[in-house]
Amino acid sequence: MNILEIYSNKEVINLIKKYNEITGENNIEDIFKKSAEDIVSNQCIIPILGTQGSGKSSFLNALLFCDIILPVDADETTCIPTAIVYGEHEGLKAFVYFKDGQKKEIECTEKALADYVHQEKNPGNELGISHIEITVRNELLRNGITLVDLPGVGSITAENQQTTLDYLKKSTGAIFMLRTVPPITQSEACFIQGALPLMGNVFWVQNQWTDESKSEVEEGKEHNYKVLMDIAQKIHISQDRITKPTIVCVKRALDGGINGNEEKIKDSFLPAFAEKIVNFALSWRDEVRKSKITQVETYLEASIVKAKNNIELLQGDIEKESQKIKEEKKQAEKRLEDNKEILEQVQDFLCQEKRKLESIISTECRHAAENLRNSVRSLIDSGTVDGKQLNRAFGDYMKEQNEQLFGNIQPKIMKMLHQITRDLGDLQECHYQEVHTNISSNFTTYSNFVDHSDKIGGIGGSVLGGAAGIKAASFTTGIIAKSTVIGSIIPGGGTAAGFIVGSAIVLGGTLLGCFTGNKVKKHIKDTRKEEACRELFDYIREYQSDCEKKYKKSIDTFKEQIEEALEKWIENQEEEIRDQYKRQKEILNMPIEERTSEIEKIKKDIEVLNYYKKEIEHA
Amino acid sequence: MHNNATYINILEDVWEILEKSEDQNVLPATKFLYSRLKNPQSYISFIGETSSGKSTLINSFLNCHLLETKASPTTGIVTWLEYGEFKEKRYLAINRDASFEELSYENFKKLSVKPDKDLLRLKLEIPAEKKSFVGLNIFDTPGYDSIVIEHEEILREFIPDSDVIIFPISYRVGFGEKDRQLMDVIYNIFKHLGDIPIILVVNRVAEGIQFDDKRIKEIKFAAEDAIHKELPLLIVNTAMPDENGNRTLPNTEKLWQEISNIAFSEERKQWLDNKNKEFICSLLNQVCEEFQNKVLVSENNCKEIEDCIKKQLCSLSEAEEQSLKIVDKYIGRLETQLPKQISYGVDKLQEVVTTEIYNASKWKDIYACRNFVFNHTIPFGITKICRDLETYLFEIFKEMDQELDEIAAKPRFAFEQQILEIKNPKIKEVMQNLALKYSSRIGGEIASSMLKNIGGIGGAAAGAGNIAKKTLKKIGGLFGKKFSRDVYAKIGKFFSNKALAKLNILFNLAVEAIAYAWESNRWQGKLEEETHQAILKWKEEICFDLENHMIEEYRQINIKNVNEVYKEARIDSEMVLSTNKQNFTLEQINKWKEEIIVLKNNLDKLKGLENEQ
Repeated sequence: MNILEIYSNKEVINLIKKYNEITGENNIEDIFKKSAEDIVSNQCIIPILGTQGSGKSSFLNALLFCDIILPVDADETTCIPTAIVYGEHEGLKAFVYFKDGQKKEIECTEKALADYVHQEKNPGNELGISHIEITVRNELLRNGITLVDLPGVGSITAENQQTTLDYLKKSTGAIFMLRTVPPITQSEACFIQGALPLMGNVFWVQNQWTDESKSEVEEGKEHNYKVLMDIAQKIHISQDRITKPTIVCVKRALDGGINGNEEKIKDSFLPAFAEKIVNFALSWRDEVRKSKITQVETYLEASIVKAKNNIELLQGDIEKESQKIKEEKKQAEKRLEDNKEILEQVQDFLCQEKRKLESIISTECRHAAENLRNSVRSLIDSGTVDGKQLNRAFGDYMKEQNEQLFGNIQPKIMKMLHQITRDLGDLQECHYQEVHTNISSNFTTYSNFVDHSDKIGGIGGSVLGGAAGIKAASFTTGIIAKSTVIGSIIPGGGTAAGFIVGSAIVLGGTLLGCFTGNKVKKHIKDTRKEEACRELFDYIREYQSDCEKKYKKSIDTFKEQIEEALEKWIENQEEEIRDQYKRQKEILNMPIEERTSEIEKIKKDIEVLNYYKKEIEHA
Repeated sequence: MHNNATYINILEDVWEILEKSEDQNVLPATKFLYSRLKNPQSYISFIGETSSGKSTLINSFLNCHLLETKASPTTGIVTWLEYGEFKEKRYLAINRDASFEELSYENFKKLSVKPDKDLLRLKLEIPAEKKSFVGLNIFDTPGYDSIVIEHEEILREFIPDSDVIIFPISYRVGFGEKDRQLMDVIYNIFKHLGDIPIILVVNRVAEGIQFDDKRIKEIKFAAEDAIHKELPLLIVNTAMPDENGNRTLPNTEKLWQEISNIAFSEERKQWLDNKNKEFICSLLNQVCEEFQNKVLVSENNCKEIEDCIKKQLCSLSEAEEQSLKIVDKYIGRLETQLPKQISYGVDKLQEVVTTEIYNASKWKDIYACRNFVFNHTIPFGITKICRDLETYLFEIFKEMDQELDEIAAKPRFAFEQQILEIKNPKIKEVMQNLALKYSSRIGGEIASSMLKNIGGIGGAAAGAGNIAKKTLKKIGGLFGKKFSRDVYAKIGKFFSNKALAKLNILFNLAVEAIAYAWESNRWQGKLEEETHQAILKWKEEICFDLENHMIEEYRQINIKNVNEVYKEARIDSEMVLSTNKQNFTLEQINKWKEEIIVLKNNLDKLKGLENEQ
């Protein structure tokens, strides 16, 4: 029996429902439906990231087309995300997707594409494009891999930021292009700092140019690796997530591809890297599947344990059993009280940290505004009063300040997140049967594979995406999942940690938004020095309060979500304790004459559950 | 409560003992501290643009036209005025070799306008008329022309030791670009050393203009933006010529009152008192330890100590040799990488510049475009290149530091192993003391200390006092404000300012070279050529400078630091070794024991003093 059949099997669903209460907001049908979708969709999105000129588009040209298809012009090329997916047809096809939902097929050539993705041809994305999709029959993509050429580090703007973020959130892994010369720059470091919490597995690729010596490349690789480790440490992300960069010579690969020189292609190390990606996608798919199977197993196992427990209750001495469940209830309540205490501490900590961070944010934003005014004064003093020029320069200054702000504030927020995650590790499950302990080992592999709550949400049977996601990840996974699936995936224990990782994604997203946000609103029209200054200063004031608001809001949202999630978690635990007790009492109160037949019924249920459990093992 | 008298008593009491220390730094440090205790000092630095009227404000305090008020703006000479209990005025030249030379007033004035190359700074000793200002040291820093980098180094020396900074701005000139850059330098120094009070003085203000004046408000706004904090502001009115048409001095009573309030404040005295106490304690402790060690070694004089130390000296030499190789390796990396990274950045910058030029309207934008490219596009791009280089330098030095640390840990580990094998507890103690010292010396991050030196930090305000004060810092690290370990901004600013200074010169040359008789359809090509050449010229110069000066400087400083660290460790060991070799008499040993008791008694006395933090 395949897993999809089990998902839609009424008998399975009814049995699970019979032995487990649903305390979350979703029901088991929905959870299974979502899981089935996850398996069918089978999509593995891998964005290519990197700064302008790091060779992203060239990399994709070499990897997928053996020709120059994606425009590689040095001037800000990819301001529109371009996804490349598998297509059964001959040749290449390109589709432009507009924000209003329209779709248009265009010729798939460098020239035709440039008209849409090139900053100069489509300034500020005035054509209103959401993304471009290219389909190609390439074996590499056959396994559901979608490679996405995302805007370069320096060219993420207010217009394309949302699409970029969306792709990052949906991504399974990412490829990040680095260089030997120059090594990771400040802007790159800043971007990585922001994106790292959002990305699953990252493949760091160091693009080697033909004139770089071997030792130089090796040194560069070591250097880049150390910088990446530093970044991870700075934002309190496990350094295990950082792997050494892979050297690939894109230029050689592309030359080889265009001229059909196999030797050259091999020398470029690109094929070896491509294999790595395919293997990653395959094992990812496998892991998703495995974890889905484990999910069903967990539901079945929990049902069996509870069913057996019911038999015990029915067979035992009423007096004794009643005493036992009372005792168990007391124990559970005691654990709940302990948890409440921990949560109170966490809440206090959150309040304190929030105040501290808010004051840091205010200071940093004030500094940014002061710096902007200093720069504007310098420029105007030097004689520049033309509105357009002022605007351009101001854009430069603002980018600089945004980076600095983000670079200073984000690690502090990440630190708070890290501390909270650690504190919540002390939380313990309150309910009776420790069903989850024996399956947690199944998830260890998975959590090593990727610790990414988007994906975890997926396994748990829910979609993550913004605020709702956190709740989804933690509650809607259903009765058992709430104590098992998520909790066991995330190292550090308790289910609660699930919300935190979930919040981290949202927080990471909002923060990255702060990094890329802001655009110069209007042109300065006046050419008199004083007026130009005044107009810009007004805008700087707006900028300051806007930045302050954004950063503060990200903390607010984070705090609210965590608090809400924790409260809900406690509530669910309480409800579960109550329900469990009620159910057990009902069973104990069952008249003697009905007991024998009930035991028989339960035994039969166990048989059926065991049958499906076996089936699932072979699925 | 201030304990100066007690401190003086203690120093006098132990003077002869301290003199006996084998550490050459102890005596000069003691003398320096003693003179400071006898004559407490305060330091005021005047910093500002050439025409801002710094010297006039000081003259007004002295009530005579003593300082040249039209000093040539490009000189880098600092004039130091000491206001104290002198019998008569003295004019002095302090030379770079730390020698003093008395000058006539005429020569003093001459040198202040045109200093010779041996001159480090000028000093004026002035008999104090206003008794409440005794002990005031005023530093008149040179006017600030476009040579940012030299000026910055001077400021780095003065600011950390100043009690108050006076920042005059001429009302008519306003707060300009140079002021902004100056403030930025000060801000960056503050970031690492902590705040020092600054008073903003708007100078040469016409009678009747008040704080609510638009221009005054603008100056305050711009200055506060530049320094990122609120500043107190004082107004000094223009001094009108007297009835005979002679120049007069402005009324600056309020300003000097304010200066005195801060410089001689209770808070400042308390701070100094605590520092003095800490410092004397560390001095006494150090010598006490030295003697205790001598006693220990002499009483247990044996071959075991000798063997152990010889082995240690051996492994120290090895480690030093390895460290030098590491330095070589990293400097080699800089040699190949820095020019490449500059080339890369320059290529990108040229692309940006070209786009900017061809995006301009062909028919009307010639001048605006040129101005913009030279005033924004290029400097902004170059700052970015430098910033990335600085990040790289910082990371490289950090990596190097780690490797050097690992190497330094080896002899330490070996030494500790040796100590474990020593059976005699007394000898063990001697060796453990030595190991402890070694750890504290090695723990000091060689590269970071190197970066500190590059930034020029480490000097002190008082010319010849410099040497003594440096010694103080070395021993205790307690006097003066502590330097931060965060060295990033130091190399940072140093590098980009140097690079920008170079650019400035180039730009000035370019401005003179233009003859704009270009036809409207050809100027873009010409401007492109001109800018590209300017950028290339900059690249050439900066690469030349890197290759011939900066990288070599990095190398030398690192080698020096490695040598110093290991030398210090060796001296410690050798001191023990030499004590071990000499057979001191019982009498001598007993004398040390007595001296240790005296030192300890004094230390107890210090600790017993009421400590008001």
